[in-house]
Amino acid sequence: MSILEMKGISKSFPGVKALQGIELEVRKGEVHGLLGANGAGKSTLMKVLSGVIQPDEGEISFKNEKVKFSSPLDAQQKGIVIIHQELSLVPMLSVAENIFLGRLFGSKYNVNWKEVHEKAKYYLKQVGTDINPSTIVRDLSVAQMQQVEIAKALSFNADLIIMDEPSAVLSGAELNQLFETIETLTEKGVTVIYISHRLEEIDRICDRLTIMRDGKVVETRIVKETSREEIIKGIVGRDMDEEYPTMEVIEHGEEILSVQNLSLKGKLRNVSFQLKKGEILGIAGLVGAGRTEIARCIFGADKFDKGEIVYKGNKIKVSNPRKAIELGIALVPEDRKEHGLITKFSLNRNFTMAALKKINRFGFLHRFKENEASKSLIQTLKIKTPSIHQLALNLSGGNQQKVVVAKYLFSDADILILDEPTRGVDVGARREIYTVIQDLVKNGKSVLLISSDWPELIALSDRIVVLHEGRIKGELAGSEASPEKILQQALV
Amino acid sequence: MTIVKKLYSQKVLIILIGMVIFASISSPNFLNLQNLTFLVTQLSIFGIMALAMTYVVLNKEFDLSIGAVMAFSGIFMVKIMPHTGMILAIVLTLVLGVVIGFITGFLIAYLGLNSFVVTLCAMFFYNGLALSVSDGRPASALDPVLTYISSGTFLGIPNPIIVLIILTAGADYILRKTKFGRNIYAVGGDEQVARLTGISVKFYKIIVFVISSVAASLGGILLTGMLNSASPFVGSDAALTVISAVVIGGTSLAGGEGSIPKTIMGLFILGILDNLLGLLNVHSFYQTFILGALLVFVIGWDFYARSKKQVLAAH
Amino acid sequence: METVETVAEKRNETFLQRVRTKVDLGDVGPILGLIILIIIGSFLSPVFLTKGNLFNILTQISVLGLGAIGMTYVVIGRFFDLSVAGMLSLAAVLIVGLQPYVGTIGAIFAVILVALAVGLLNGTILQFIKGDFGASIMITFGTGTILASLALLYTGGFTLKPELDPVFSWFGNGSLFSIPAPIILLIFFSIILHVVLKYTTFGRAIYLTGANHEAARLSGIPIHRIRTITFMIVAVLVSIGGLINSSQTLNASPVAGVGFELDVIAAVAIGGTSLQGGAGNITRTLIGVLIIGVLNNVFVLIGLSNYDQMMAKGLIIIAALLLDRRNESNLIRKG
Repeated sequence: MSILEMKGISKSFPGVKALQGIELEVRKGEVHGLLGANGAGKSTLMKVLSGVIQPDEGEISFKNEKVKFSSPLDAQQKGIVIIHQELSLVPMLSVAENIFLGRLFGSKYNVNWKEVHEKAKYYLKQVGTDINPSTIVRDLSVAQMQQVEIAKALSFNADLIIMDEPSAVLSGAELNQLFETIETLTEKGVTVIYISHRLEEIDRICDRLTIMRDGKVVETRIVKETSREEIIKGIVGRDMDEEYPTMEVIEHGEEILSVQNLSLKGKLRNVSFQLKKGEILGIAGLVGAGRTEIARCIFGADKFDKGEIVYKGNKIKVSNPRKAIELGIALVPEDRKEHGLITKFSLNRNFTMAALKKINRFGFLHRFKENEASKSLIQTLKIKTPSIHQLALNLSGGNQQKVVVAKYLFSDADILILDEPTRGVDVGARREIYTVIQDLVKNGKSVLLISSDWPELIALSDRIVVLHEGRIKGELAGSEASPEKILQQALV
Repeated sequence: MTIVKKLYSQKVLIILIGMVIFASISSPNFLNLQNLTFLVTQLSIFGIMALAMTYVVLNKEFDLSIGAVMAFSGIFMVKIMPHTGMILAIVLTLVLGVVIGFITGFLIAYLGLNSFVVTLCAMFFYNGLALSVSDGRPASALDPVLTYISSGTFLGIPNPIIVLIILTAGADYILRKTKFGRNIYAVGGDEQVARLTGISVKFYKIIVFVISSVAASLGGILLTGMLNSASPFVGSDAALTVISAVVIGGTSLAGGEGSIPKTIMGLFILGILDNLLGLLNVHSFYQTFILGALLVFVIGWDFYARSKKQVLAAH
Repeated sequence: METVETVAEKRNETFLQRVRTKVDLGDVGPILGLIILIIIGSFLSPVFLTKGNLFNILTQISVLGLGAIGMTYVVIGRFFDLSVAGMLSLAAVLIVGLQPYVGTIGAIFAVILVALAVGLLNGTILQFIKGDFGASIMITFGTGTILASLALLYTGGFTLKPELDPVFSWFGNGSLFSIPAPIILLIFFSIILHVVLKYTTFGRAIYLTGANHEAARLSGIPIHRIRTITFMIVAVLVSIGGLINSSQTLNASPVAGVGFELDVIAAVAIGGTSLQGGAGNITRTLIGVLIIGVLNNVFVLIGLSNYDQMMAKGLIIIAALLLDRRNESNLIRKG
């Protein structure tokens, strides 16, 4: 039985047709996957569904009634709740207060805390967790926070829960917990729309899936009857032989970086590994294992307690990113929009910001050199933009990522640490990034690759070190690695 | 928790106790009843404003205009008094506070302007207004009702102190036990989330400024009664002192964290310091210096501690 | 080169729209405002547009101008400096106070050193506590209070009388090529600051720091050093302003700076430099300064009392902020 039907939904913004005649049918109690490249229209569609924006045309039927959602609150009250990637909880209030935010029981003058806590416990149990409702949200793990969000959705008697990339902040065991929760939900008759880039998850948890491309629905299929290739084809619109490229074999040089006994209280314990010139070393691990911390410590973005870093044969002390960049170490951060780029500045300025001294002539800016360098970087990395003066924020995710890499190429980095380089980048653009990474090592650079996408990590890396709770648990050669083996070591 | 951690979490209380001890040692006049009564009476005016400021800071906002509003309210009351009688004058002055707070709050909540700059402008505006209306001269205010409220006693306790106690209890109860109060924490803690839950963030942002301005007006009324005159020059240090009290007490400028008892403790720490400096005949210029240094130190500490916490939380 | 499917590309921009993106309201608005004010002024009084009056206006705003252009650097770096009021008072009294001991030139050097120390203090505290925009407001508010009280303590509340040697007098009353000294100084420093901001790597670094300090830090820009230097620059410029002020008024008052910070903020905000950081320039600030100067002149012509001027200024800043806010959201929608 259909719980949701969207017919002919269209939405346009100035100059962009975000949604064109969307037809979507979701059945009660199913887990319905929603896939598509960035820009395909998934988030716009969900915004329409959750009441954030109104469609220009089309009808929505929910629970057999025609509906128009005037606001997110309206949609919530009618039974549709969306859980975003960036969780919407107030960190300093308790779990119970968050679940019932704005809806506390009791009179205006006297909140009935007992009832609040009891009800909170009830919903938390439905989600399958025994978190204490009086815990302050700030003290929870991300996975637990997600559970609180789901409990909150249930407390609205949601019939349809939309999860937007829920696994982006989880991995391994936490992911399993999420899937269990989803199964519990569907058993109770709650319907879930599951948005994700990760095909293994869609495969595992979804009953049917819908693929979107360029604002239109391409197809809706039953998951079990769909192969990976068909999905990829649907998303990208053209045949892709492989999701991941085979990397050329490059000869590796001398050891260029050696990290010894790196320790950071509460995060890292005696982390040691080596990187050879021309190598791609993958760093795998669950969320919170310490991968980003390693990256930031090597780069000087964060301080560490103990340990040594030997670079090109010399012991170095990186106290801040400036020193790291001068030495030739670069970090392409996880959050490229906030930390990697200045979105309201032009590409020009972004390219040169890590190496101002290269365009410095007696203190003055050498605009000509800057422009020439920008043009050459755009060509080398095949960045799609009409001009070097284009604002960074107008570029697509994949191209933005290339700009960040370009910035550090300009600063003559020899080691590039890439932290989740393809996060939020659609399938087509990912291939381009893989090509960039391949070119980096072909040109003699070395790469430390952090990625939660294990198949990606395995395809690209020469070797992989697996991190578990701040310690290196094992090392695998790229050729012999598999997600299972990684998980084994990441979990122990 | 270890003993050290337990002590640290109560650091404000410890500092308060320490100050009392220090003050008693430094000046023999400190611990006498008359001085203490004087101390608390002086504190009561700033105290009322500090209670209100707690609400403002919890909402992650700032109100620098309270001193000017206090001064203007006094002048306003004295000017309309001959036409309306005392009681109505008091009521109207409080209404004035509501109106002022509403305007300020509107600029900040609906027009999205930065609260620091807006209230800084408001401070100059109302200061100018007070000076303009009063021609730069204090105006005398002698009235039995007013005198009773501000200088009279009830059961031997000066009335301002009673007002402070009642308001403290009320303010604390509201924050801890009512929906209204919890929502203030929510808005200060994470505005986006609060909004998505249907809490009217704009409403709360305006209301805290209304509360703050009304408190300032009330302070102005009481002060005028105490001094028997309304002066346009008072209140220049008010914002500085009151905000310091709130921050010293432990209510964070980041919003969403803090409480009334904490503010009261911060208030007393400052009050004792001020009282002590007065007893030791320290010149008022030095007092401003100490206030400034204290503010820098306390705010600096607040940010420093927060940045440490963030580093831990980020992972 | 393949064009990418950006929103801007898909929009078939009309000519008018393209003009609007190039010429931003931030530039046009204030200039328009200035022109309107000048017109109002000339209606109010026949002497308004005379050379004497214009020089008068410019001289009077020189002190404000120096403070405002210095503040521009701080604001572009996305920080704020409310200690300028205290700095002005302290500089004024220190220069005059030290004059008898080390002569005018010695006093000037000493005060510049003090200013550098103050800027260093502001910057270092903020660096240590990892403060943000809000922190800079509050901390400099505190340091400003300290400086103001130091000025009062130094003179015991009294106003000092300067020694009128030629060097000292020149700053307030002298001239060069028949242009009053204060104006020369303002022009001189404005040019230097403008060039540095627009054409040097240091200037570029300030913009980068203000636009996104974390991205700048992760790109190796020494954000703390940059911000500290901006604090030092504004403190030094304000000190020179203090000198000019004392020279003009022939006395050094420990409350010379009261209200100065408001005027400086007003000038910067009215001129169109966004308080969000990462944007703005000296030219805009100078226009803002001119607007205030003309405004003050108009106030006097209308006969507004000092008190009323305070009120008017408060209102005007709020108006300027509103326009800034509207402009910001327009920009974001366009981008």
